[in-house]
Amino acid sequence: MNAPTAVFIVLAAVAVVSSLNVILRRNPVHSAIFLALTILCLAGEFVLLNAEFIAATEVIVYAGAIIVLFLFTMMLLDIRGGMRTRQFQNQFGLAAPIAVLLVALLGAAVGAINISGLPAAALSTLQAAQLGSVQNLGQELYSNFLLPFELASLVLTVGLIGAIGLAGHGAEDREEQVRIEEALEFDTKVRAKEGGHLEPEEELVPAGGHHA
Amino acid sequence: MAVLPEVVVTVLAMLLLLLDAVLPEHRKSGLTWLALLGFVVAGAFNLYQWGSPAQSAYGGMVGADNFTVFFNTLFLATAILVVLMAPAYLRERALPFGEFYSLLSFAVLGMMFTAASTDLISLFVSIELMVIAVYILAGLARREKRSNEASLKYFLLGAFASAILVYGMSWLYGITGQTNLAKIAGVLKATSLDNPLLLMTIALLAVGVGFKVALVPFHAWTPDAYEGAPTPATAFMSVGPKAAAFAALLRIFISAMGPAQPDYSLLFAILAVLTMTLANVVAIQQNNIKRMLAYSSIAHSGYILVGLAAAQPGAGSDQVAGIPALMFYLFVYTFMTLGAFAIVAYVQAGQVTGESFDDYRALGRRAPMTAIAMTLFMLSLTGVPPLAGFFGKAYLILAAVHSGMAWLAVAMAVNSAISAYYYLRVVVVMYMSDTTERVPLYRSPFIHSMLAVASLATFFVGVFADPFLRFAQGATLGF
Amino acid sequence: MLLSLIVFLPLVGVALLLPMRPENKSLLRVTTLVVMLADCLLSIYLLLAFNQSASGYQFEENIPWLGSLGLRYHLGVDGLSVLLLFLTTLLSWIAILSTWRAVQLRVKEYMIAFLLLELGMLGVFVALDLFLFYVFWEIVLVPMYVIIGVWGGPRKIYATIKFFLFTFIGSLLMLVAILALYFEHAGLANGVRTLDVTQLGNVHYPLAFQIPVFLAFFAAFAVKVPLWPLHTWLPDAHVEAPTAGSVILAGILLKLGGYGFLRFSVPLLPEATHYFGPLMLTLATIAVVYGALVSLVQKDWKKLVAYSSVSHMGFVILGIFVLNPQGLEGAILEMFNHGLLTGALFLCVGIVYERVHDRELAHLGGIARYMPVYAAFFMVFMLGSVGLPGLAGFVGEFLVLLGTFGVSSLAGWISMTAIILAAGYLLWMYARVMFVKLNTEHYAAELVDLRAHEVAYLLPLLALVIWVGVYPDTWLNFLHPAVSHIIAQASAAGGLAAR
Repeated sequence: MNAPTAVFIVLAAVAVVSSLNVILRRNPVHSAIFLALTILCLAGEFVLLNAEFIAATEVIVYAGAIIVLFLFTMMLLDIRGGMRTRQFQNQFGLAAPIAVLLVALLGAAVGAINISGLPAAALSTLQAAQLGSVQNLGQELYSNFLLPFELASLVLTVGLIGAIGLAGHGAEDREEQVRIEEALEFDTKVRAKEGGHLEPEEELVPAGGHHA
Repeated sequence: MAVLPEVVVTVLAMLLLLLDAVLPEHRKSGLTWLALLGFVVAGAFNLYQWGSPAQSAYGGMVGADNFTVFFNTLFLATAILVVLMAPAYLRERALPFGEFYSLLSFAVLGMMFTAASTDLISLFVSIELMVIAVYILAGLARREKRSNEASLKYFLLGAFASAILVYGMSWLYGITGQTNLAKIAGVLKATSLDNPLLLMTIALLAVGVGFKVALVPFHAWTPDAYEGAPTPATAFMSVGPKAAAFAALLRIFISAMGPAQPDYSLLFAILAVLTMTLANVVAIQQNNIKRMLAYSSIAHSGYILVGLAAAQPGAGSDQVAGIPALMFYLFVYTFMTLGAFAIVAYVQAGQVTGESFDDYRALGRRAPMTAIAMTLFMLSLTGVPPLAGFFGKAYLILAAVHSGMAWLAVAMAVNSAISAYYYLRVVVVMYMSDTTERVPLYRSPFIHSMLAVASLATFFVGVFADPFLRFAQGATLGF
Repeated sequence: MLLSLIVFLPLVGVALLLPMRPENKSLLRVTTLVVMLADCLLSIYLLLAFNQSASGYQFEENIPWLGSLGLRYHLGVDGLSVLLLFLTTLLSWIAILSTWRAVQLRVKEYMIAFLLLELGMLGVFVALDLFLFYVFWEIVLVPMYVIIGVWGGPRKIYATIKFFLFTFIGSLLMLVAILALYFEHAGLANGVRTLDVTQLGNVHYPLAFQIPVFLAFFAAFAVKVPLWPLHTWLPDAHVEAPTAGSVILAGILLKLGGYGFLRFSVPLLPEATHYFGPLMLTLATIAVVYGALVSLVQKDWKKLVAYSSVSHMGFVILGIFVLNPQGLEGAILEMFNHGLLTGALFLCVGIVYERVHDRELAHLGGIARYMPVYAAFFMVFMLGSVGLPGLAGFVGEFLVLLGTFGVSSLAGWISMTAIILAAGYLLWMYARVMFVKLNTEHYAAELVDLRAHEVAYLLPLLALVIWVGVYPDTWLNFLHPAVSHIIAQASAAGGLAAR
């Protein structure tokens, strides 16, 4: 076993353990910190794959920006309520065997991989060492991957519209919401009183007599 | 210019966004006309490309062939019909016009690129563009808790499904070393891959796309999302993104993985039966018409999937292969489902809810033409000739029988009979029960013209099905 | 063009009705009546122009329809269809006249439903492409559903859903079978994809294929006939349907099943027909006797007539599956007669029901005293249904029994008892309703004798019942070439000697 493989295994193991912790921890702050750890490990893996640029963005964007944002949000909110909720729903009994099955299938598939038998990657025209360099990445993005790149910018635009559009406008919205809730409640009650659903027997009631 | 229709829609989306910001409130209904104009122009450019030789653009990321023309027609028709049905509803509920139309355009753009994609990367980005726009559309009625719930549920499960989809794509890349769909097919044909690898890839991709088209058991988000979303958005969700997801399914499983068809045919056949049966049985118990239509839409995903299970890649122009059947059904499904949802929007426009079966009491007398149109849509969804839905189903059954899966055809027939029960219930309520309630019905030339178009299409695509069959058949020549 | 004209003339009627104001009820009624009478005249012209000695189909129209799938718009008639076509156009306008006054609610929709129903039924009898046939077959379903569901009795919702589900499941299975036939034919005939009846019959299908297809056809046709044990929707539907609905249901819809067996099951699937022959004969015999026995114990007048239909239609199936000329001709004539007679009986029930709004046999009695003309009409139809020689019912049943004894004397003897039972329940019913004196004075005011329009629609039926009974050859002559063709296909294609 050479050094890169050893590093790979260590990083992968840490990534798996810490990502498990992300979902198993009750305290969301702990979860966020484990998420940061997971992402750092992944960044390490990218370095091993000669993808330094992605490794750097991983650290800067995810660990740096997003997780810090998470932590800020958590500080503003009351997280003690969240800590009391149950982490496992009733479907757990159903989900667990399916998950085990999935892992078994994945294991079988991974076990079946014959690395040398796989076709070579399409991008291998580039030297492995240059693959992740910023220069190559930029060239690829503005030539072969121009369309997905532009589409991604549209995705961001849409995300922005959503963020602005879905954010509430304060008191006015809450009043409207209360009005709708009341109307819905009233509707349900009236219907319940009237007998609600349409049953075949109801048709025996002569025309017009139904709401009398 | 291969992507001219897409460019038009992009410009339209941006323009709508800009104008929404600068136009004064009372002139925003003009956006409806702009949206209509934009989609019609894009549609004209699109139809102009029919029959021209297949092109490839952006380094093999997208293609322009009859297949894309077919799906673009479908998407743009959907967009036009949704734009027509929306104004009454949006105005009554004080929902933002500009956001609705521009998000609609972005979603349509995503759908168009989804159908045009010939590369896994552009395919995935296009799908994301589409679904993110639709998540927001679902939550547009931000003051309603149900709409918030719809959006959130759709978003969480959709994001999860996208993750699985992209994981599946990475497997596909891993085992073939290619992201271009045609090249993937070439590699798959040339090499005999170990079964577990291929199976795993198929399973992940099927789960990922299965979420988007709402196949059982990946359908759990559908009823809640459909119920909570504003009705025009629901109508759009039940047709547009579903059709686009089927286009993606065809691109992935036929363009790229066609050589592996024997491995997944049975899987999809079983999923199809599971989907239609469960959805139909649950639909019977619904009392909310939007939920009923949601389950009906799941059931129809099951019917449509029969086309993929019965697909014979390489059959090309063979008139009875499953792929043209699938596409023809999507075409038919568009009009009848949008029509049904338009009537739901119409009936509930003036009320807070208006979604229960009771709200349809005696609609036959309160609004005779609307009730006739609704009857038409319900009968077409059931599959009664000579309406379009019947020919769609018959063509799918034809394909199933042709590919030697008569049991699938029988399952579909039995399910159609089950579905008759709940579709006819709407007809029963409209014509055979009485009410003293006099909820005023909304008048809008837009929605009336939309209903006219949808019902005429439901009728004429049925009686004169041949040109439309040929349209679908001509679109699959690439496979 | 004549056939298309006959089939789609009702659509012209619909187009005329659509712009009319719903309040103008008499205009709506008259327009519908005129259109249907015109259609009836056209079909009489067709009867006269029809060449009785020629074999094969006449007045054919054959143009591509779903060209990309090889499906065609192919119409044509032989003796079998021409008779049923006439029956349909006749009973349609009679049905409209019969509810001239009874239906006051949503007259426009009612008339449109009947016109569409007529269109569907006419189409079924002339379509020579199986897919086209299926389309017309299903078109029939919806207007009938609406007619029972909107203008029906108190339990109409239950009855309509049952009616719809029974027939819809049956027909969907038939659709699968039709499509299977499409590919099997393509496989056997060098890839020629067609559902043209005239071409489908030229190929010999393996028995293992014929059996499931026959069963699927059976699911559709036997439900319509209705053959025991698939008959349970019929009494419910009849009891809830308005009179006109019952007339069409008994008079024509039930014939669709028999027609389907004759046109498709027997000629296209000869070996399966022979294979299932004994089973079909058994079921038919059971239906004949069961229908008669159940009729005996009915308390509801309409239900009694409905169950007698089960018995009479059993004779039709019996006649079809004995597969000899007497049986087949008897079966077809019995279909025609049953349309006339049971249609007339339902009309008679409807006439009294319209006056007193009661159908309980126990509540009725002594009607002959107040309605003598009615009693005379009713007696002829009743006796015709019993099978009195000289009236229509006798000829058909006699021929069927003649054919049956040639194949199985056991089935013949058992079926014979049904005729005796029929005499029992029909005569008992007649005596009960017409003569027995009850405390019916409170009815007296309502029991007005036949009105002019009622005589107008009973009279043609009466004339035909006597005509068929006295001189059946007029009608049997239509059938000879068609029947010998069916028998030839049923025996030759299977490589079996004619029985």
